[in-house]
Amino acid sequence: VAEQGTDAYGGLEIDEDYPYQRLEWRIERAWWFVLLGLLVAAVLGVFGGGAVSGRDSRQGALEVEWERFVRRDAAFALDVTARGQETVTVVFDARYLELVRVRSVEPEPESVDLGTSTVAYTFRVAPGGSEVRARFWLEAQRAGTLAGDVAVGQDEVSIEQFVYP
Amino acid sequence: VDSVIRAAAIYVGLLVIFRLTGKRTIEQITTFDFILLLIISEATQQALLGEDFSLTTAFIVILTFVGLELAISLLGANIPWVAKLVDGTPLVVVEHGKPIEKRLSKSRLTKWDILEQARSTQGLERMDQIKYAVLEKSGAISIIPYRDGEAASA
Repeated sequence: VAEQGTDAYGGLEIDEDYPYQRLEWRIERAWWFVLLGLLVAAVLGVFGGGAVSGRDSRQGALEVEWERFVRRDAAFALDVTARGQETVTVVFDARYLELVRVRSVEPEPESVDLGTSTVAYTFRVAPGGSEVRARFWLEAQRAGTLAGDVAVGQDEVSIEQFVYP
Repeated sequence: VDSVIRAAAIYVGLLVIFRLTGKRTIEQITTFDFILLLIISEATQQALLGEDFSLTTAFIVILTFVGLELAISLLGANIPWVAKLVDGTPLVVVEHGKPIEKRLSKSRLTKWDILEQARSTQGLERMDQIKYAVLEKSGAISIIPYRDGEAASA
């Protein structure tokens, strides 16, 4: 880019570049729309926690609710509702739990059993009850896609998530 | 490595956001702008350090920022378009006592902003006493008054 502008204003020695300035204004205007778009996307839940992000899957006696979009190092809830007598065992595949940290499980499971490629949480059903509703507070450890399965007995739900950095 | 990447990402992200949002956000700080800056720093602070409160990480983050700042200023001093991209260019907004309306409105300024600056820095009373007003790269407005004996009608 050539040095310019020294003569444009008589004695004023200035490195003004009006063509570049106009380009900058145009980009600035475009940015306003991008900004608006990002804000709308955030409100809708594209970055997690909104209408676009909620997922719900039912498979026989098992229902799992989770978030499609989550953020790294931020807790999200994964709700499991399952029918069963006496005890209900919720089985995660271990490769999923390797990528997320289990912050807490509500209510506390009666036992946690580690298999070769599974982690099983067992909850006790109150006498006369037939359903367990548990909430897993999880935290993704790295950005990218996450996939895993949650199973109760024969019923299995596949989970897919995208983790923002 | 992680904290260097985080710090670099935040540096670049903030640079792009502030650069795109315009000069006015940086200079001419009002009380509310000041609060906004505090909130922005609070929001980035968490993402920068995460749950790592060690001295090492703090210094790595600081070194990353200082290093990037140095690198960009070195690049800018040697490659003109880098400087233009990062800092922008100055813009003449008043010429021979006449405000250039299009440039003012595109810069989100009014002639009253110019006159305010003329009063506070030069003690001027009217637009026709201003030879040039320049919106500088920093976002500040420089006022060049007519010298004694110079004609205001050009």
